[in-house]
Amino acid sequence: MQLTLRIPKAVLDEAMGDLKRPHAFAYERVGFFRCRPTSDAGLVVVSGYDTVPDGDYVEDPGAGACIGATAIQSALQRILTHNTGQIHVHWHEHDGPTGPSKTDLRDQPRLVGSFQNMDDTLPHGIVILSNTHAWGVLLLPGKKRFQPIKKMSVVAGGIDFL
Amino acid sequence: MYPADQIDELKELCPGLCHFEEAGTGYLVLPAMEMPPGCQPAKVDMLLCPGGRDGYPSRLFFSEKIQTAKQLNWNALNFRIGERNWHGYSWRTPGGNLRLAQMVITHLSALQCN
Repeated sequence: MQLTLRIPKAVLDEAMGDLKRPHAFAYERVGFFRCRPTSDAGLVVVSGYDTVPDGDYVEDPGAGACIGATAIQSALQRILTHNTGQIHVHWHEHDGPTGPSKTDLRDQPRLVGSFQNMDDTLPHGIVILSNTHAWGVLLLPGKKRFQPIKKMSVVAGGIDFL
Repeated sequence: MYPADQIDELKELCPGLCHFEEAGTGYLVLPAMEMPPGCQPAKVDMLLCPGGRDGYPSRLFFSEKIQTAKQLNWNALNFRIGERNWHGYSWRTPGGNLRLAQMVITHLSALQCN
């Protein structure tokens, strides 16, 4: 199955604009896409973006960005309140293909597992954006293994990624 | 005791998590938890009773009564548990296999207006 993540350009622009903002101490910013499954098992659609407020970052010299319990609680709450999956997203400041760091691979799958524990009928995952490309994996409903996103289609503005 | 993975998950929400038992009932204390938007105070201590009490499959108590636009039935006022006073509203979570973090978030969802 070729997994596609479809994202409105306006949402992507909102995310990029937010993630590129400097933070007082965090090297990177983090946000969350809201997403929903579709009748096509290979297609997940992004429906919105939520920023992580400045005060919800935790100083951690071992990570580019470390978010605290409040940001995690908010993401879990959105799953329940809005019935949307959560995709952890951050931006790597370069052109070309991108991918996860060791820290990304250590921390983010655990967090996404907690999202799935909250509601395993929704997709949840991780996306990393560069200036020109993206990398991502999703935990699809009922699945225990991450599935790579093969294609990210940006709608109402052309297809720019992957 | 509770499954370690569920405790670890709850610690992501509340690093200061601790546990005690009283009168044969287990409680989890979640200090200084952030409340959902629109709630006052914005931060309170919470007390989760995962094993059920008062006829509910689980209960979540608060160190202060929460002010919110949502009308709730605060049917537990000044309950004395663990040598502290706690307050709680009537909210029935789905029974069965909710994880600890799910219980907390499910209870908190009652406070949200949208």
